[in-house]
Amino acid sequence: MTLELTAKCNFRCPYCYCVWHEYPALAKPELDAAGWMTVLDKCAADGVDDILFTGGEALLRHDLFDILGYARRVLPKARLSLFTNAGRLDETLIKKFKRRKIHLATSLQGLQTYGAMTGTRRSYKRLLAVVARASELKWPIAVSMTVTKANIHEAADMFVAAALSGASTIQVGPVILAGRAAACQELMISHDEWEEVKQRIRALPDAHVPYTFCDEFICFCRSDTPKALLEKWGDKNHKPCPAGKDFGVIGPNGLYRTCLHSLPKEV
Amino acid sequence: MMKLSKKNAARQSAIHRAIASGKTLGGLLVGLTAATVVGGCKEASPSRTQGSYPRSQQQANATNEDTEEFVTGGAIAEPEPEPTQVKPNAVRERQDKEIVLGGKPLPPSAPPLPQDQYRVKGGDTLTKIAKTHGTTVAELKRLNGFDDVRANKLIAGEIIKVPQSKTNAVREVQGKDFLLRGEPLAPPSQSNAVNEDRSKTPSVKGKFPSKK
Repeated sequence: MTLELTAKCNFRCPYCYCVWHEYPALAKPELDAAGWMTVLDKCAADGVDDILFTGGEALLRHDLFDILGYARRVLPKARLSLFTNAGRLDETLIKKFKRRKIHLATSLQGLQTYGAMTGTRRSYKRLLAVVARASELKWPIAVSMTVTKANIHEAADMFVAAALSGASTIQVGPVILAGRAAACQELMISHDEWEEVKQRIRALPDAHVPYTFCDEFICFCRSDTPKALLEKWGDKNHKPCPAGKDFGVIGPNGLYRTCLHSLPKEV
Repeated sequence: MMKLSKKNAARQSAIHRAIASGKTLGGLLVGLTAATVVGGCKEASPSRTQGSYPRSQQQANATNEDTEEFVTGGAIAEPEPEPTQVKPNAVRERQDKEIVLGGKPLPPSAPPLPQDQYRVKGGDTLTKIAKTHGTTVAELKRLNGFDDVRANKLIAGEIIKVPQSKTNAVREVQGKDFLLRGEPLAPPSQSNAVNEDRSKTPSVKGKFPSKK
């Protein structure tokens, strides 16, 4: 179960898949801490054993640790994870997450293209330093990478940089046609380019880090995707979005969706 | 900047130098493997590289401990192409695709709403909502800042603003919410009238405008 704690974000990634970029009404009004605690109660009652907290940028919530603390109390044995862009993550926070056994995941959007891919003036250097410090603190961070037209030339280097910095696991995937990416399709790579990226990463020397590829370019949970786009991006991967199975998302306003890219029932 | 140990600081510097000079970083991995092999460090066991995902924290730590031998004496080992000793990274690829799994999906929840808000349901249209709340479509569009396009893109479950209830009909639609709050239900006659009215409204499902 994924809980999107907020739609607010301090990054402006042009390929962000969050659906409220297409339908802003899905993000408002945001649940308060009490609302999320109610959701967590339901999760506990339903036997959910794996929760990912995300956003937007969850670290922008001032009551984040109230929610996480409550989650740990009502779900003492569940695996709890937090996905963050790491813009605000520092050593103090990493230690707090470690104490609460909240696993961490972040995304490396590029190296030289990091600023452009995040819509900020930030550098990849801080992110790698955070990943490295977390590894030193024995609470390593999982890293995900999104391959775009802009950063495809350094995709393998991004992988190596994450691995050398001590990422616990690495997930690599292409841009998914949802959210901002729906209006920014020029960033999407082709199937052939994606296969080439995979081959380049596979051909690297052993990086001593488990990794996985996400092959989805398009989410078949979305019934509003035009047929032409389905044919263009879905021709080699005619399978449902893996997130749609044994998975669920609660959006910032408390609405349930089947996956990160899908919408609530349309009318 | 984050304070790092000497080992990691040297490793980060090597990454930055390689990027700044336009070199690919793959060579650093060759250095890592070569240093590991030359230094006699224990390689990761197959069980560590092929376990199920997500792996445990202990495994993660163990792998990181393996890589601690990457830098010796604060210097990055030079790339040494030794094909026979270098494993392709493909052995690390995981076949399972889901990164965060587990638990049953929750049913859609409907927290109680104030009377000046309304949660859109399947089959609703602005016209119908306006009628139910004793107002007009124009008023609803004004309240919610909808233009014509957005007015035709109602999504089931989204919450829109409505004028303070002029009829009791809204209570019937959200009867359960009121029950939870201990408030009285609407009279049955009015409730049935609303339901009957809704049943006559044709569903617009399938006419949802395509995303551009």
